[in-house]
Amino acid sequence: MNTMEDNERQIQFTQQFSQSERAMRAFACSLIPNREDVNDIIQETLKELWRKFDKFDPARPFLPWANRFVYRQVLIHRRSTAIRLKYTFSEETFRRLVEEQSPLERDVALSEALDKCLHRLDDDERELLNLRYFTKESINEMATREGLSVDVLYKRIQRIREVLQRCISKRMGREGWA
Amino acid sequence: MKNESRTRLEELLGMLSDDSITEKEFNELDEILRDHPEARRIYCDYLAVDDRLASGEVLFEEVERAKARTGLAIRDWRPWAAAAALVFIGVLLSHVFRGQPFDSSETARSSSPENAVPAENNEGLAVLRLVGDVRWSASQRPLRHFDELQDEWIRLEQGVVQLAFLNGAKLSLEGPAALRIISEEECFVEKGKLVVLAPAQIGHFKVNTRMSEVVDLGTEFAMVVSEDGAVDVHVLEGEVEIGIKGADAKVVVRERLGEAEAVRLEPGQSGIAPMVFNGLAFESLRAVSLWREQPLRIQFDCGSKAGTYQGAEAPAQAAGLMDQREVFWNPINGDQAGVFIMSDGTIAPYKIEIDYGRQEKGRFSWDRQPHLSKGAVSATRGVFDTPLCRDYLGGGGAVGLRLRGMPKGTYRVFLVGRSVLDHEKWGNFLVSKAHRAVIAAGEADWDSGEVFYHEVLSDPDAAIWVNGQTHVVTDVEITGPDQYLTILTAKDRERSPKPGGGNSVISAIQIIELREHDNSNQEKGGK
Repeated sequence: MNTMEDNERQIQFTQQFSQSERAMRAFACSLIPNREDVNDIIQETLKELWRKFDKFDPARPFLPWANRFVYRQVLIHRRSTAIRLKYTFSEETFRRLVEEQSPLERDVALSEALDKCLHRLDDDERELLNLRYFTKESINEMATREGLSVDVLYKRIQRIREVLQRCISKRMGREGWA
Repeated sequence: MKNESRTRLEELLGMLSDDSITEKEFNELDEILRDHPEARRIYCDYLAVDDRLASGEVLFEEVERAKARTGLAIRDWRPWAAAAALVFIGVLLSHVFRGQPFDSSETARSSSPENAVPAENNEGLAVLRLVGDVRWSASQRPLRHFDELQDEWIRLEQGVVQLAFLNGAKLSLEGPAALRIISEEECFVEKGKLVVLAPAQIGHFKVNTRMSEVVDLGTEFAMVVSEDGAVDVHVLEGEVEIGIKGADAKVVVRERLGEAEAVRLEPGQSGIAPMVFNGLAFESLRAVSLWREQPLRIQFDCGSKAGTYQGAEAPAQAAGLMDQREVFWNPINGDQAGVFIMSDGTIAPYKIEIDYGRQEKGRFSWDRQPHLSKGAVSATRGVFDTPLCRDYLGGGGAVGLRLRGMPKGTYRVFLVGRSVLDHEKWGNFLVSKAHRAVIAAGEADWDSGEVFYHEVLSDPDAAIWVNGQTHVVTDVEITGPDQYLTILTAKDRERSPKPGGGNSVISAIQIIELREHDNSNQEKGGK
């Protein structure tokens, strides 16, 4: 085995993969909206991609090629009897969601939009989001401390998410990615 | 999509994200998505954003940024990082941070030091470069690094400056000195010690004194002009022509002087007296010796090897010399290559002391066995066995290093932590851990230094050895060779999700001296 060549290939692969990972995850998430499942799917996809990387034509974009493998893993997941998904979309919805795949540029635009929109939240709101996404216990603790019901706190978080999402939609629309 | 249906969609998405959605609600969502293309778009973006938020990178950054306002915003410094790091750094850094693709390294390398002077400012006859501390004469307006100089006097009491003339000649001047710039290829020296480097291809450069003129003929030469008018000329390389001026300042006698020859011209005497050549006396003023000629760049690389990638010296990862295991994961017991080179690739001619530290049994200690670089010889490049990239799955201590001996200046420190790639066997335990770092001047520790949090760099243009790794970037002001630059990193236990495991390591460090001293840049880069 030629080690130099092999290393070069690994470097290329690493680069391609790290560029596209988020977009691949997003694609998988849209089809199977559960992070744990998506982690598994991406893990499996990574192995497949690496095995088939020889077949990848560097002149073409990596993401659509990689998403085919994501799709395959999603199908395996959907059909597997061993994995019990909590909810699955109907065939019709699933098919339409598959068509929603977007190019890498859109994913980059989304990251930028998220960045900018997070900036527009105030510090407390960001902190609350942080709590929501990291430490569910803390929300209970926080609710107790603030004398609020967990329900109220969640509602507040829900509102922040709405503000964030609408800001992102607006930005994406302005950038021509609507 | 109507507003109330959008609100309903968002409610459903919120429940989906919180995992509190019921089957009935999920079916409702299914129907909305089936029937409304716009809803599918919103849904996809929602989940993509949700996934990013849940992965932690984005929010960590944001919350920390809001708290500390540390100036870590990548987009703010990226363009100027590329501009500041023109020469050798260009090869490495500009693609690290959204510069040119790798194959433009040719362009980056061909940028000679002359070109490093901003092209749009070349109205001046010469550009001043400060070399260390300078004391100006009382009558001299204080000059700044990279000032454009016209037909004017430069008077310094002490210290060294370098003048890069428009025609390409470089003149180093040591105080006490008084020199007047006449044109882009000529100057007048009243007093001072100087070395002129004027390679043949740039044309002739002339140094006038009251009683003489010295014209280079493709050379490097040194002069000492005394206040009484005596002039010593030493030819370090090549050849010069010396002219002795008569009473009316016209040259009356001309003589050529070859390499390793020296002469003295005494005031009131029309002859040229040979003297003992003493090249060594001027060694420190020679362009190659002036360490401030190029910004300092220090690079550490945690791989068991280092090598060349696309013509540039590069960490093992970029050079493709990592062991199989190291590509996915930093070496378990790696060596540490410590290199002190200037941005043009030459080795730094001064001593930098490195001290490595690690936490053991809860206590952090420095090894206090400094590794010294030994001067401008290739032996400065060594492989040290350090604790920086040792990896202990079960451990959890901090690692760090500190450097001393760097010249006064502002340095941008890039600390590269872990790879974030999923490993087949060990999974993605790397990125899921939060790491913190202290990067500060002086003997800083976790209590006294500002604490930074590693961000994950994912940039389509980043160099492979940095992309996909956690990193911290910040600027540090170093007051002089006596002051330490301290770099520490550790896993942040509180912030790292369970289960534990996965230490902090330092897989690469780049320390770049920032050379453009204008305010706007400092505001962007610093805090």
